[in-house]
Amino acid sequence: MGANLSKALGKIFGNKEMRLLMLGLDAAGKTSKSYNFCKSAFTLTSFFLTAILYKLKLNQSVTTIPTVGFNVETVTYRNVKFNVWDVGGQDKIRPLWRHYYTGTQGLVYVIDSQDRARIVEAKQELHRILGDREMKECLLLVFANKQDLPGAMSPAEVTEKLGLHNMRDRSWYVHPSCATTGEGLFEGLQWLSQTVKKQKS
Amino acid sequence: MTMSSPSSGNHCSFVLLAEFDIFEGAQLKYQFPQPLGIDESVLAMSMLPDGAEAQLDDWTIFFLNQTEFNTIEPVLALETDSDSYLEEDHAREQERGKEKKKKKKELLCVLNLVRTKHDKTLDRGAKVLALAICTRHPYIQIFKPVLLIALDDYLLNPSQDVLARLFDAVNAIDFSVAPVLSRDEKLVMRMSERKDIFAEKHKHLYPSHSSSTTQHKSSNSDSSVNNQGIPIRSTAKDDIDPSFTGDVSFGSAVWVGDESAFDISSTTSDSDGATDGASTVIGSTRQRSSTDASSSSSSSHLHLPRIPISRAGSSFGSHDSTVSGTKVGGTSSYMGAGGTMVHDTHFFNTTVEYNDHKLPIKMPLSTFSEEVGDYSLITLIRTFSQPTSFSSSSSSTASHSSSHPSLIHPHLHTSGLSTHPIIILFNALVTGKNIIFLGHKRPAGEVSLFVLAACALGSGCGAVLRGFVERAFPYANLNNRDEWESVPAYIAGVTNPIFEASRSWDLLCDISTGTVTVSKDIWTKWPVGAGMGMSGYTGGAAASLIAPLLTRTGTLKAEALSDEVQKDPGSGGKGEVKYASPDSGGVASADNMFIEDIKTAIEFHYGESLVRVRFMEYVMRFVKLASRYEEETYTPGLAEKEGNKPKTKVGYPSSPFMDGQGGGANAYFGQLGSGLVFNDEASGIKELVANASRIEGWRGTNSYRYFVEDFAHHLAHAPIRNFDVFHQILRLKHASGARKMSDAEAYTIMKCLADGVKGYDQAVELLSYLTPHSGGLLPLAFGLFHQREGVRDATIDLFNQLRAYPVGILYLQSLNHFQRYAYVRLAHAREVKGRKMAEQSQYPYQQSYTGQQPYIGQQQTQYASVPFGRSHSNSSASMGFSSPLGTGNGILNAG
Repeated sequence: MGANLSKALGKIFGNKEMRLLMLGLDAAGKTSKSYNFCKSAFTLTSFFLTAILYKLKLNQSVTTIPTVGFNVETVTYRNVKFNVWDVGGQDKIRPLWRHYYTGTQGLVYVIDSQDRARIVEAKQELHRILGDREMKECLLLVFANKQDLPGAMSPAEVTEKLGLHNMRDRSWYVHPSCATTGEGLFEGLQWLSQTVKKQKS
Repeated sequence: MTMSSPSSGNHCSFVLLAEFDIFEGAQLKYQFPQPLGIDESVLAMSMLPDGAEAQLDDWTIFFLNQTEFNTIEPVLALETDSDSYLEEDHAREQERGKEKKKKKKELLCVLNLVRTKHDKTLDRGAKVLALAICTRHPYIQIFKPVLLIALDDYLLNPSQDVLARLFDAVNAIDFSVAPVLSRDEKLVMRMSERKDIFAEKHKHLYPSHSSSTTQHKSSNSDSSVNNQGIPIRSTAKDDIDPSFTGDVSFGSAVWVGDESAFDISSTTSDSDGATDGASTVIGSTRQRSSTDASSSSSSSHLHLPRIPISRAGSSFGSHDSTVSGTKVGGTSSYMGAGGTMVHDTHFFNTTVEYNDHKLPIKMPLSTFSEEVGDYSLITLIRTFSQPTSFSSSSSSTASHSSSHPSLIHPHLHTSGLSTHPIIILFNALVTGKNIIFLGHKRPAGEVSLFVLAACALGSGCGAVLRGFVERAFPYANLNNRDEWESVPAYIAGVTNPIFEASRSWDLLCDISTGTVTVSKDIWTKWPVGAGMGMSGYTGGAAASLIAPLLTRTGTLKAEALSDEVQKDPGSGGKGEVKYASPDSGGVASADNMFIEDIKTAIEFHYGESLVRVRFMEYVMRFVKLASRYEEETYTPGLAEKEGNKPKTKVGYPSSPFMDGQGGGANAYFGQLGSGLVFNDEASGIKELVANASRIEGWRGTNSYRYFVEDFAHHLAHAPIRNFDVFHQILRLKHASGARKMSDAEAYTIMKCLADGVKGYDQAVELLSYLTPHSGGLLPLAFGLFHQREGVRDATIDLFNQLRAYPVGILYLQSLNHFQRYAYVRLAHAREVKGRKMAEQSQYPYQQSYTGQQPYIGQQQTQYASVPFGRSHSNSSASMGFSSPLGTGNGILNAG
């Protein structure tokens, strides 16, 4: 009952709900070790999620205990309620990604801009994800992360290396970010909220 | 492998250890004594559940050898298991044997302990690891303490040695002296809350008793005096004859009352035994009243409150099968008589030794293989009886259109919109729907227990149906999702809310909100009337199946039918669910009343064991309804053609008692009735109609096929053969109801029972039908007051048989004062008479009282349709017929 009511109110006041799936290759190995916090199996994405939570929900305690399985959190930004699903990125877990596709409206793909060696792998994974039938309608937000580190690829470079220019039928957006400082996160979310509002409900 | 001795052993087949690696994810680290041959990631992911880091300690339970992906293929073949699987009754063993030949391996339960160890010195402040043991025993909960200790040990010394130590410790547990109970004994035990039930089976506690030889107790008060100081009464064993020829005073009243007390006290303290014995001699009154007080309160232990006020006092309830040693109410007061006797015979107590720790183990003795772990039906019922449970039984998740009327499905909503969520769950279980229990951010162990409780719910606590555990995945996850989702009628527990969006389930039970959601695809996946996956019955929707029922009785109106069963989409379209509205019709009421009853019982703190017994009876009733339904619907005219081919494979053919006709030796015998009897045929048919859809659904499932096998086995191997005992007891219970019992029927019933029960197994089978909470022997005891001597005699024969066994004595003790007195008086009178006759005519006295010829001759002509319950003048007896729960109790207390 309550959920229905808030849904109805949401329609009147333009509130929106959006389900996001946050994916990225894990940053295991050498590259991440230099990166203070981000060296878990869930490095990029779960740290991202934590950062977003930290920014949006002040006083939210930030734990670094490794997550088993997945994270799902709800954050509201600019009248849009985001259900963010964060699934681990290591090789073994990748086959499980597909279980989260159904109902996903936005894919948040996190790129380690410093890791040039794996950008090809990242591209392949991205195209595999987007090739899934269930992800046909889904928006794509790419965070070119670790912009604070020397030698990081620029957003334009990332765009090109991921082959995004060839995507005709999909709304996509690449934004530079730095998860440790939280820079760029809101801009990304804002793009999502604007784009989803423009879409037919 | 290091097996310590053949008598112990094989409790634990494997030990596993998994750890969550922050780079690699879930990793299986050790398998002991050898690799299982199962995909390591499957095991590791099952052992480290989603969200495990949020719990300090968590338990998960999962099974192996269910389907291909979790079937173990060890490199080295395991040694063949000598001891029988789960000590189940022979029927199931044989079935299992057959299955094994068809390369199906026996199910292994995995009990897994997950721990998040917070440690500032670690990379991320914590590590998550899990230790598991694989066992064949369903009572896995007994291994929890040793797992906890072993995991502590591992954290201190992380090496494979810990696994080896755990493996050896568990396999060294000695169950060799644990009593092994037959199916009927298990039934009797679980229905009784007495802590001394089957005490004679605990050989280690009563080393002096050679369980079977001391069973023929002397009725001679002299001998009981002589024996009071001597714990072993082997002198009196088996010689019934002298006992009857002895001088039987009225003190014999006591042998019903104090035998067992004597047994117990004799092993504990002689002085107590002596005082008991003394009162035996002095006079029966004091002794009787004291035992009455205890036995009546213990028998009323399980009674459901009709009127809440009536159950005053602390002697009620609160006994939980998992808790023992606490002295509760009447039972303990009885046990207290013996002094130090606090042991609960429902459990076998032993220890497991791990690193010099001696940990106590309480192994439950009446566990069936379908009931795994320490599940709780009460928790299940409470969780899904919240107000929220109802509102969403027809609405559903955000993506689904809310409150769509078509979500009312005849398989599930057997009482239409007012179907209680627990009944929806039960219906989904027996009709083979895919069921998911979801507990987001809840411990995986909690979710697992819900799944196990659901298995018990569907199977009648393992006592009626089976085939639930084999498709249960108490903790399931995404890793092997496709495999377990392809198991038909799976029952899975998950912690990942992504499953809410899955389309493979038919019923989603959210344990956080207590809501039960029906899939919006339910009609597409389960079109009603399309044969429901049954071969051979492709025709007809539910309505056409029910039609013959209607034409037979002609009492039901078509509207009622379409309203209740063929819930047409238009009628239920409001989305608001009114719970148990009183006008929801007679059809709805049977189930709803049952649930209300259960809820009341829970509110009044009745224990888990009562709820289990009630659900067991509920499932039994369902099966009997199914049997009747098959008779009514599936064989029009077939029976005539093929002679006496049974119309149903899941029950006795239902027929009323037929008066014996014609002459011959059997003239006084009528043909006993059998099958399901309705007190009121019209409401009975209504109940059948209400059940029709789910019965249809059930007929297409594995559990139905298993039951057909089990019933055939029951017919061939049950201790009491050739007639439907349950039917007779039901008849006796309702003898004064709408269908009055003739003298001929009463006589035939009692005579057949007396003739049928000649041994221990038969006595136990009979008792297994006589649930203590609905009066125990009460229905039979009415035979003591029958106007015909033949009936009374047969009843005494039967009771004498029961009295030969300790468990029978317990049941006799729980009769009320009045009935026990009557029994003793009649038995005594007959002894005297028999002795006199023996003296006079040198006849062996036995003949004079077991043979019925002298009485039968006279009565034969008198058999008219005199109602059984009313014909005799005794009011208390007939009162008990109508409501053995309430009124009988009142009399007890008054006395």
